[in-house]
Amino acid sequence: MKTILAHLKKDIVSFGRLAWIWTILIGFDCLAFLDRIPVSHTWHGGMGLVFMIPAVILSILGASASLILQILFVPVLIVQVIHADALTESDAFWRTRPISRGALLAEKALFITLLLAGMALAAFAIRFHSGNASTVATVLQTAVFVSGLVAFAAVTSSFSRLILNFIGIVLGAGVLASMVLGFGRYMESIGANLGHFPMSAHSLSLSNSGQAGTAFLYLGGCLTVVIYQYLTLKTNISRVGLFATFFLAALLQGG
Amino acid sequence: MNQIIEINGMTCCYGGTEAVRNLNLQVQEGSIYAFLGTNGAGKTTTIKTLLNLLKPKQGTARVLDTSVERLGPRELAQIGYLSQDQKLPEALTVRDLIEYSRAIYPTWDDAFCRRLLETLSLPVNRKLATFSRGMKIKAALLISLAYHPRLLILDEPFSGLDALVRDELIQSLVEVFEQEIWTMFISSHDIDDVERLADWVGILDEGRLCLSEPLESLRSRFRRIDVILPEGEISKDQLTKDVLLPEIAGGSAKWIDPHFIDNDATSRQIEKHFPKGTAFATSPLSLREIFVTVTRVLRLNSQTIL
Repeated sequence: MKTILAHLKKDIVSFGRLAWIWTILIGFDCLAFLDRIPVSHTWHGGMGLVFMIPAVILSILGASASLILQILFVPVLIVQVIHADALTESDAFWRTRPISRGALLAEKALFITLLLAGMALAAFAIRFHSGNASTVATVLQTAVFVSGLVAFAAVTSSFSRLILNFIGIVLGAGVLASMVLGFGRYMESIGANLGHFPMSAHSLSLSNSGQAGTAFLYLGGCLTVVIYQYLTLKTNISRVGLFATFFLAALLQGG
Repeated sequence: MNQIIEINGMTCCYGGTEAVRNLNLQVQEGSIYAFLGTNGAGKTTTIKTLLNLLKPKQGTARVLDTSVERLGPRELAQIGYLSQDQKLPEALTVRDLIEYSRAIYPTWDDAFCRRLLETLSLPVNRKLATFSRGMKIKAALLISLAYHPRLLILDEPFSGLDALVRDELIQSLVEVFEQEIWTMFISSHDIDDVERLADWVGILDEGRLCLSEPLESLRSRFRRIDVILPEGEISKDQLTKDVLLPEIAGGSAKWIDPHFIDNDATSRQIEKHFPKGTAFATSPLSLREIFVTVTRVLRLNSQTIL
């Protein structure tokens, strides 16, 4: 535990500047609460204007912050934290230090959890503000997005390699899945012409359980790849696992 | 004495080629072993295998009595490692790096760390990213020494450093090793620097270990022999097969004797082959000269036994 906390502290110090920006962005998001806090009548006239202008500015910044946070900032921070102790480089600092792979995985999981906990707090504030309490779907979407990101970061050592791997794996799996589905449909049409039905697109797509099934398959696949990669450092097998996850998810989605 | 490193018949590949072939090597606890070789000889591959950063294709390697493939945090807490392309968490200051290292090494010694900080003259509040290469190496050395590792592995630590920094680093190592009995395994092609530290030498050439023996033994058995000859003598054939790099020019002959015993024995050898030889002189070789001789001879004839 001591090692995990020491490593966590090292990552927080290493990304101190980004962590501060993240805190400020989360703070802006949480300002959505202000709208629900009862305000005094002075806001509506006279001195109220003095407070209204910064409040409007803060509100706009808060809304923008939420967008920036979710689209750009958190993914960059997550990838950088994973790449700070790259798993694919034999000369990475941590490889010759007394840190077990399991401890490293636990530390990264803890860091990302802390990061997402802040986001969850901000999301709760926004939901509370808008009166929309549907958070389960948001949590699932975020988990799916982050697990994929972490899986790609775990099998690469730099942002450019991550992008290349992403393009290669997603495109490759997508093309292969569409070929398989196309072949299934072709066989289905032949089967229909010949009066029997040897193979269908439905039989090829694993199930027809819809978006949630795809999301869970994808989530499970990515998490398995992350854990496997951290515990074994067998990058090529992890990449194959990632490809298989995307392929099956595409098949399920396409079917 | 214990063998702190034990390699038996190890073959390793790097980038698709066999970088190390059938390596057999033992390092005794308490020794300072200089692992020498030209660029691409296989030194770094061997070291990476010893730290379980690469897998051996054949053979076995044990460090601290543990198979390298089973090296874990317990063993790594007793090994200090510093390489020429050492990666450090550069966003940290020296103070942060020390705090981090203190937390992960159970045997961390604060007093020793303070002494090393003074010896290495490192500013504690500066970020590693702002350091020169020499300063980064010093910082890496600090966090590799302050927990009293049983084994210190250095892979080309002085490569690319200016003479002053190199001298400071070597001086620091000499001071540390005067006070404590540690084992050091140092690979380098900066042989003059290593000579100040080492008490045991291994020479690797094209993935093969050509020799491995105490430095004193090497120094005493490798001698340059210069013989003054009367005019009109000789061909190279008169020199014995045992000598290395013979040269005959004008009225003199010279060679390297890899099996020098004493002046009397050399005198008898010279009389046998050059009866008309008028005088001879023997001089010891530096480690660098021994290394160059061995490597050159092996390039000329890989079957030579040294």
